[in-house]
Amino acid sequence: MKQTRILIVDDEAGLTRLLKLNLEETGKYAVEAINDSRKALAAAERFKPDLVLLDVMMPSMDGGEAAVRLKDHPVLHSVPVIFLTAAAKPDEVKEGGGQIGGCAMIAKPVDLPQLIQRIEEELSKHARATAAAGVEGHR
Amino acid sequence: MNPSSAQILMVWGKASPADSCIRSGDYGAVPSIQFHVARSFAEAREKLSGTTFDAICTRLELPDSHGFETLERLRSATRSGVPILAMVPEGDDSRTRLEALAAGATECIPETDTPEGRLATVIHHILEKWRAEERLREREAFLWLLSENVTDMIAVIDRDGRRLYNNPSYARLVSNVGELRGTDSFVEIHPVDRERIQRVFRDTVRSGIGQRAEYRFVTVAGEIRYVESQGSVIRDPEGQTSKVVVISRDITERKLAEQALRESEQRYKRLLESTTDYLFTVAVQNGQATGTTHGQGCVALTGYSPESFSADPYLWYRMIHPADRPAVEAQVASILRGEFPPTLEHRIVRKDGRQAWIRNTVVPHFDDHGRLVSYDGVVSDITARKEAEQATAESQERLDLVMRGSSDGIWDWNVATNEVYFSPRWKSMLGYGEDEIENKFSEWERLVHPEDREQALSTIRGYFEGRLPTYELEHRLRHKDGTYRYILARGIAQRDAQGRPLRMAGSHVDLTERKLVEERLRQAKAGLELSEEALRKALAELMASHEELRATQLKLIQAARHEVIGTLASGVAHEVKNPLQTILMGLAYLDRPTGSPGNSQGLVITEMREAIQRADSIIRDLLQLSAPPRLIIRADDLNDLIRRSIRLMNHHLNQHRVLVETDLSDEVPPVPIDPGKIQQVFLNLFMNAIHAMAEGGFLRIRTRKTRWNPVEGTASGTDSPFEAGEEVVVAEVEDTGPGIPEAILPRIFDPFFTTKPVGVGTGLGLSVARRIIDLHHGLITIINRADGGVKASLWFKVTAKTPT
Repeated sequence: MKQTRILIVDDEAGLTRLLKLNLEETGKYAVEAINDSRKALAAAERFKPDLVLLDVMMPSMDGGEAAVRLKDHPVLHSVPVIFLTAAAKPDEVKEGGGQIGGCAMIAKPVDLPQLIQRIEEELSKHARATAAAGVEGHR
Repeated sequence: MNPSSAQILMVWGKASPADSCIRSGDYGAVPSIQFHVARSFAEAREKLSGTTFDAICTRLELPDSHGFETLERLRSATRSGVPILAMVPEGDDSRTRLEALAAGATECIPETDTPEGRLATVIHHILEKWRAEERLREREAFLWLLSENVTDMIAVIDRDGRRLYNNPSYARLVSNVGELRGTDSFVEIHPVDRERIQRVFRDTVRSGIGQRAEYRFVTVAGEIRYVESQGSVIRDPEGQTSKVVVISRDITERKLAEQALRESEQRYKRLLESTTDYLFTVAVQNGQATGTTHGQGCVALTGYSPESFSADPYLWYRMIHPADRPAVEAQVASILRGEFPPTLEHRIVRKDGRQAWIRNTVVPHFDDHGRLVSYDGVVSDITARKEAEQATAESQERLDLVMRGSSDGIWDWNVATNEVYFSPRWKSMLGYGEDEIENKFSEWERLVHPEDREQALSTIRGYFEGRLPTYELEHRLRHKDGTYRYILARGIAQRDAQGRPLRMAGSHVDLTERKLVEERLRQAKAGLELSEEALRKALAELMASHEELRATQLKLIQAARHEVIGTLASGVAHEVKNPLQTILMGLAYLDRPTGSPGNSQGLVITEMREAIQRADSIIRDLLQLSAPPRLIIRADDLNDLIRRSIRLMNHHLNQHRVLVETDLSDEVPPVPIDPGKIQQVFLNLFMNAIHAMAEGGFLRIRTRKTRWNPVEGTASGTDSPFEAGEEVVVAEVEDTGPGIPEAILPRIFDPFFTTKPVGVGTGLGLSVARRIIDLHHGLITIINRADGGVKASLWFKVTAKTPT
């Protein structure tokens, strides 16, 4: 079974280390974690993720800008992005999930099962969209 | 009748001695007579019917006719005028002769007195005499006819001047031609002329030489006729004048025509002399001008004499103003074609160089065949008129300019007709277009304000009657929009000899704006006293509201503090949530369903412990910031405090290769501070400096006593707690790092704002430091130094103030 490749971008090194550990422990995911958001794009080009987990507040380049660069990328633009944020206001978060600029958003702190559930939802949503685009392309 | 061969019929009756003579043809001196012989009356009658005879010579006794009857019968058979000679018996019987003549004989010849040889001579003489008389008779008859039928008047007058004969033509002068004989032929002559004519008559009678004379004849109707007479004389056999024949002609018509002509010529001459106009005549042959004659008047007009024009055929052309020559040439060409060109007005240059305007009218003359033989021109001086016209035009132009350019409305009132010219500006001043106001006085009356009407009319009257020296009137006129405009009218009247106004013209100026300004000024002046009082009131209100504002500001400052705490809470949430996430992930790992602890367990525990420490540290700082501070103030030596703080940092300084330089002034007095809190501030500043100098550098610390300088102090943009010139102690901490980006300099005191990597700082350091300094009523400023690096300054009051 093919592993889903996940790129984690967060300046909290301890957090990224534990996220990677937990996700890889499931056996379904191959994870790459980086702590400097400025290197996110290069890492994504190299790693070719199926999904990106992106922290919002980072000192060097914030998550919003990193997401914009991904969306502008000729190859990576369709890769689904989930924002992880510690700064969400209560009304921005609905039952642990919400949207920022058309992307999924998860408020910190989030427990592992909910995180994996959201990851899977985004992946299947993306798969449907891709299939539709493929059908569209065969007309 | 041919005298050289007179045909004579001899009526003999019986053979006579004359026969041989006739036959022989020997007629002595008159060989041209040809005789024809008849023996009886019957034979004579037969010959008379075939031949024309010049004379008939007959005996009274014939075989077939007797006595005087023979004469009668021959006369009736003979053409009238042919003489009949009767041969009567010898003896002086005059009774017989008379009877013979009465019976038709022209002459009687005695029978006995007719020797053959002389017969022809006798007949010839008789014949000649008769012929002469006949010629005279014919001539008399001719003259008679002539005198009776010619239109000339013929009179025969005796030596004494009495009339012997007047022909019928006299009827045009006298009513009774038939009764003139014997009357005085001078009586009807005009008294003025009579003596002169009588003298002429006497001269004619004496000298016998006729003269011609002219005189006036007064008719019975009293009409004066002019008569021209030529006298001739009739002489008696002694050569003396016996009668005078006068042939006269009525020349009244000619005389009158001559006189009219003379008068006309004189009038014409006078006209010519009295006018500057002059005539010229141009002779034309075959469509070409061949010569020009100029009238005398040309001198006055052109300065050139007629002789100059004659001598110089092109003078007239050169005289024409060059600009006008084409028009004149066209006129000449037109008339040479036989047309009647219109009158031309053009300029000439006079001999003296002055310019004159002339009007030139030309009229062609044609002969009986319609050929142009000449043309006349009349030249008139119109310089004065032209100059006047030009002056008028210029003046009109100036007036137009003035009216167009003027902001005043212009009016021109013909008082007699009440027509008024209103300029476009006059109308537009009242909102009307050019065509919306008629040029009538009543239009002004219609627009004038009812309240101003009487005053306006009385002003006009006053000026017209001379009671007012000038016409100047302020009045209101209704604008098209219904409002009234204040108009200042001024004008001047033109008057006749009696001083009555004929015309008045002037201007309108719109005073409305000025009036409004005046009104506003007046109101403003009246309101000024009120304003002063209001101003004082307003000032009091302003001061009251200023106090209110100060109170509000204080409230706002407190509100801002609450906002700081709000900002703090969200920062805390962020900073606490990250460690919590780490702990959650750690727990997730430890709680994984596989149960078999992996190699990563130690790592997970370490991460979780560090996360808990960080969360704890943040909570503590937060408590310190938000909890009501409790300062323990005492006068402390700031320099000593600094030295202690440096010692505490020695390990970090050495580790990061940062060298410390101190310049601590001895003049710094003890300052009222909480030493523990201030040491925390210094440690925070030193730590920031060390973090800024990752490659090492210098940490310089200075203290000094100074007086507060607002310019220096407000560099941070913070409100100062000091009075200008107040004694303060300042401690400065400098590093040699890269400095702080200008963009984030305003945010450095915000809670949780940090540029450091995660775990290096909490982002609360400077917020806490400022909070501590604020509690000491001091000031903290952080600036980038001009030569690089950051300078942090702590300003302390020297005199303690009760902390709030």
